[in-house]
Amino acid sequence: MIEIHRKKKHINDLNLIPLINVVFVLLIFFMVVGRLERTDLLGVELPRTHHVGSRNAQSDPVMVYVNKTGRIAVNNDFVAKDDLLVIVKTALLEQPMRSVRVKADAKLLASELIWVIATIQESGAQSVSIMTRREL
Amino acid sequence: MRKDRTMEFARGIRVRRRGLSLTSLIDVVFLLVIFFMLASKYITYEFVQLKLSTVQSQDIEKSRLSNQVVIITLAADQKFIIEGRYYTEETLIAKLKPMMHEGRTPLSIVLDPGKTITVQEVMTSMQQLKKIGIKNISLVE
Repeated sequence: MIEIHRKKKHINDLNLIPLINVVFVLLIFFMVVGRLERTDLLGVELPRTHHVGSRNAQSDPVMVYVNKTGRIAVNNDFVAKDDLLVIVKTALLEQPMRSVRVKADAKLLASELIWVIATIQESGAQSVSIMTRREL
Repeated sequence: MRKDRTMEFARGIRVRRRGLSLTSLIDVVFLLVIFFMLASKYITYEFVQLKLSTVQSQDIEKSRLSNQVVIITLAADQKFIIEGRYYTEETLIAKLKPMMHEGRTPLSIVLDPGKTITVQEVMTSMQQLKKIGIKNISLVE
């Protein structure tokens, strides 16, 4: 009986402050290092590169997604191939200097990507860049 | 009961408080940690500016437009074709390196991916060319 009482007292006396410290550090680490992103409709697997492009991203770009079968989405809305020009043009109407970022699947045929870039350039975009996943 | 406490305070006797329960705080913080661990992405991105060349298809056959512009057709298995000859990564570097210092203007490469080459293969080729110092790379429209 006395032993049980002692054990209970021991558990109640456990110092939780170091645990909270560690957990808070972990929380801050994951909040700072990680990036919360909207998942794209098409499940695009980015090509992997190492020091091909720059790491500086312009804020608030027009996002164009192209999956491996050539299906296109603009800012998370599916778009027919024939409508791409008009939709990008409309997106650039308010801010003509807004950049366009293409998230193309690694397995997509390059000829399809070239067609997408040519169409975006035709719509009047000043800057078009391809997103790739940097290999460490 | 209340009366006794008031009397204790009045007399300056300290009433011992119960310790603050941290369990709920830890619960919430643990949930936040798990959320950020699972929802966050830890990928670093690169942004590649792709230039489209205005080279016409009949020019591709010539392969070399001038001293400082070379058209490279990409073939499967990381092979390159210049003027009908196949090159591997090593032989291509050996061919291009002397050309880089020939003219006054920097060497420009126009890549022709054809119909079967994927985006990953184009990016890998660009990576190989950038590694040897070629900066002007464009794609055949």
